Amino acid sequence: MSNGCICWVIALASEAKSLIEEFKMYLMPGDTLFPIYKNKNENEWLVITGVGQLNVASGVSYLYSLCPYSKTSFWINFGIAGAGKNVGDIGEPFLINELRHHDFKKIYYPFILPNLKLKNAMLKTYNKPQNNYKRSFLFDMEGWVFYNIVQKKITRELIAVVKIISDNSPETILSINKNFINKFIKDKIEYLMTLRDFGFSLSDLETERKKEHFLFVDITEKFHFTFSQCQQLKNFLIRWDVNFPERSLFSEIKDLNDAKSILDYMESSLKHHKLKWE
Amino acid sequence: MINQIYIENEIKDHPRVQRILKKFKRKTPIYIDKYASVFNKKNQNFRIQKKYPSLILAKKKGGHVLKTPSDFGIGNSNNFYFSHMYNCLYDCEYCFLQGMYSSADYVLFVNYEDFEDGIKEKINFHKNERVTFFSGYDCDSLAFEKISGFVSHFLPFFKRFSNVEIELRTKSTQMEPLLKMEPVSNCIVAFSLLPAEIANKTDHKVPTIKKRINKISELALMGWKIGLRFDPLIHGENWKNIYKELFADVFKNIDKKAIHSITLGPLRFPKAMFKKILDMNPRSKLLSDVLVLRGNKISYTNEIELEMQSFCIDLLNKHSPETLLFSCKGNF
Repeated sequence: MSNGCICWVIALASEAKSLIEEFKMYLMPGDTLFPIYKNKNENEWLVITGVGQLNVASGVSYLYSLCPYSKTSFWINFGIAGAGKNVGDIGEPFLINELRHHDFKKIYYPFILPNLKLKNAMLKTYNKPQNNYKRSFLFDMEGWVFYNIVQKKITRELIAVVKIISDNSPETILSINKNFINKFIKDKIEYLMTLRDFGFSLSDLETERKKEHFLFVDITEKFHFTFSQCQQLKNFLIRWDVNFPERSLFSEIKDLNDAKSILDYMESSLKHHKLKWE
Repeated sequence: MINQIYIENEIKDHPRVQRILKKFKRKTPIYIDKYASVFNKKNQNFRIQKKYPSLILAKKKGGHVLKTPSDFGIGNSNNFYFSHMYNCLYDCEYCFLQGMYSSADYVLFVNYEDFEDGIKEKINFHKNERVTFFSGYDCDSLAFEKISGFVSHFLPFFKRFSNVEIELRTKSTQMEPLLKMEPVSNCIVAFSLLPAEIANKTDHKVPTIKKRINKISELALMGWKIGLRFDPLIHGENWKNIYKELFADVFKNIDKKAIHSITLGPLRFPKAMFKKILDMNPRSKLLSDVLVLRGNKISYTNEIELEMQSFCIDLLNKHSPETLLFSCKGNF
């Protein structure tokens, strides 16, 4: 089972409905600022932010503070977007490879997830709904802001923006309603499944890299370690694992009774060890 | 495997870019204003990118040719390096590039002619002196040849300057351009080598030591000048025996007459980069060894470093003339 986690950021309940059902998420009980859904294992979270930049900004920050694995999660902004007539068909999903904003010069180039059968396209985020379909890109009201906030908090390879074209002409915009959105998202769920699997695997890598050694809490709960001693302990624990995979540290230090003697013992053992390359 | 291609707008019509794009017909490039808008941004994960690297085609502006650190050289007093590329196809645990950039994407600077101008400028300045240029400082000189055409372009250029040497530093066994041309007398093809037992654990995606030695042997027989780079020297249990075996293997298979120079260098990381490197590879065996802060570098203790250096020098002197041997102290 993956140790990774996915955080979905979605503007509308109708965009989220299929995902919530498919991934068996349930609404978090209690008084939350935004509707938050999660699965039984708590490794998949979803926030419904509402439309627009302020909403998405607040929603992202809220989910970030609520999800215990937010720092190593794979974050996905998913939703519908308008598009120029020539960009694609209604219901066609796109992985965004370039994010622009109508009011800001800053351009983001999200990490391109390999081997996904999703077309790539540029997305431009506006303050207001748009109806100019002569453009050669997708447009929405959240994507850039989502990325702008999340990239400040977590590594960029764990962020994706995926949009499905909901309207590409003045006529098509008239047919957008809850059922319509829900249907064409349901039709494209397999693409999201693939993206999600990939997201789990990347998040898993990051979780593994950042995870605390299993003995760290046990040892620091038993004895008082200063901040710098904690850092030293973290370092020694990993090195211990790498160098002495068959030695049980816990049993070797069971008779030691303070932080300093534990660290001295580990340091001395590591210092006298010669790496075996064969 | 290239994940995505980015191209700076300024060079989108450059013939070298067009030629490279033909090799990636199924990729749709993304055009960007400057390579720094994708490369080396904050909050990028070198390890994830290393699995799925992108190629960025860019134009190098300024700083085409730079002076090497003071103790970096193979006999000449004027030493310069130039980097037509940032990052490497290979993934070696001791490589400083992991700490240098937060991106593992490959940046290929296609304006080779500007590098040539920078090189000519240095050559003219040191007209009657011997000068060595090093490529392969921020990348592998040959590993990306099929895409970059770097060696095929630059060797004919360097051939024109008799007072100049060019070192191509590599771990690659893709020697196509060299095998197709007559040896260039002022070119040194320098191979990084370490004992196979260590390389198997530290050098990822890299041709084995056996393959590297076979390739060196082939080039030597053709008449190419060979550089042997035992840099970094890596410590561990039984290190004396495995280095002894490596040297014996190398000198058994390579025509000594072809050896231009041999260099030794200690394992070292710039202090500022080490934390980043360790953070990205917390479970690296190499990095879990006892490494200490010495000045502005993280390395083995002085005692280990000197012992390794002197043991290897003694052994190498038995195999080759002392004059070919150079050691790099590893200052940054």
